[in-house]
Amino acid sequence: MWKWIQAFASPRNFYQISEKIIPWLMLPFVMLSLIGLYWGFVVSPADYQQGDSVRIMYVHVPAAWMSLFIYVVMAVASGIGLIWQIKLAHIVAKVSAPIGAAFTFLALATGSIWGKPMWGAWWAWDARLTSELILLFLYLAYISLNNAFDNSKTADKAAAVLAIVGLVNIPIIYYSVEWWNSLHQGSSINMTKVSMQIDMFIALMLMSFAFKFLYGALVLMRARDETLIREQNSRWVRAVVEENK
Amino acid sequence: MDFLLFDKYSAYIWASYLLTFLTIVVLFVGAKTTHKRTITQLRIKYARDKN
Repeated sequence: MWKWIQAFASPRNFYQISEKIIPWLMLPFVMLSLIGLYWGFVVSPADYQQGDSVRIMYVHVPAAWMSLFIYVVMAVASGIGLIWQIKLAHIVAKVSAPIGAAFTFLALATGSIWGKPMWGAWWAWDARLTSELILLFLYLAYISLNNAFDNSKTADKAAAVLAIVGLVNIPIIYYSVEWWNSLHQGSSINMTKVSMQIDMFIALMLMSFAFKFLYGALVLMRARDETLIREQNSRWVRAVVEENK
Repeated sequence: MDFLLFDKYSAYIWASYLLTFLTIVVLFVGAKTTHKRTITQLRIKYARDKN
């Protein structure tokens, strides 16, 4: 296993193997999205309190989960990059940041759209919303810091430290609805219970897995380009550029 | 198809899904564009190095 990881982590092998993996991530993304949309729009019922507005949940909640998941991936990859000096780990962290920022923006925007009919306001300085907004700023700070250095090694190290320090915000977001009085509703799903109608849960899971596959495909697509830039003095990159004429 | 009107919440629901769709398109097209730009930049660099 370790040998396979080492082989895959070599930039050249990663570039070649990832090209074959991307379509196998895009296909389930498209399939799961289509089934998820059908389940969310047609099969799942309206909520007894929130009516049809609950259907916003099928994009809002998966986007919010992705914003947390991607930050954890970014921080763990940064830690691996710092400790074991694996180039690919730093690349994964770097290319994950814009994708994570996009999902965080989406969670905030769809939450705001959902909040208007439910709370009567587009925004409230609530613990959950504010901590999620801080997450967006953390992503933007990470991207800015990474682009502030000409030397990629220095940029990797500085950004990695920020990613790891920022990890403290993740449990704050997750438990904010329990720790503080919040306008935001509590968690309907945890490790021990699911307190929602089964078709709602299925639609939510389908969209959630679809987003995971999309993230995988996007990370590989962006990581391949970052690999080319960082390895631009290698012969194999010249060959790749020649082939793309 | 009346059920897709979603009563008084229609505008909020469709706005959310449209925003999601646009975000995904931007991410996907962004990744494709970056790839093309990277290849072009490297091609220019190698041509310059040759000369």
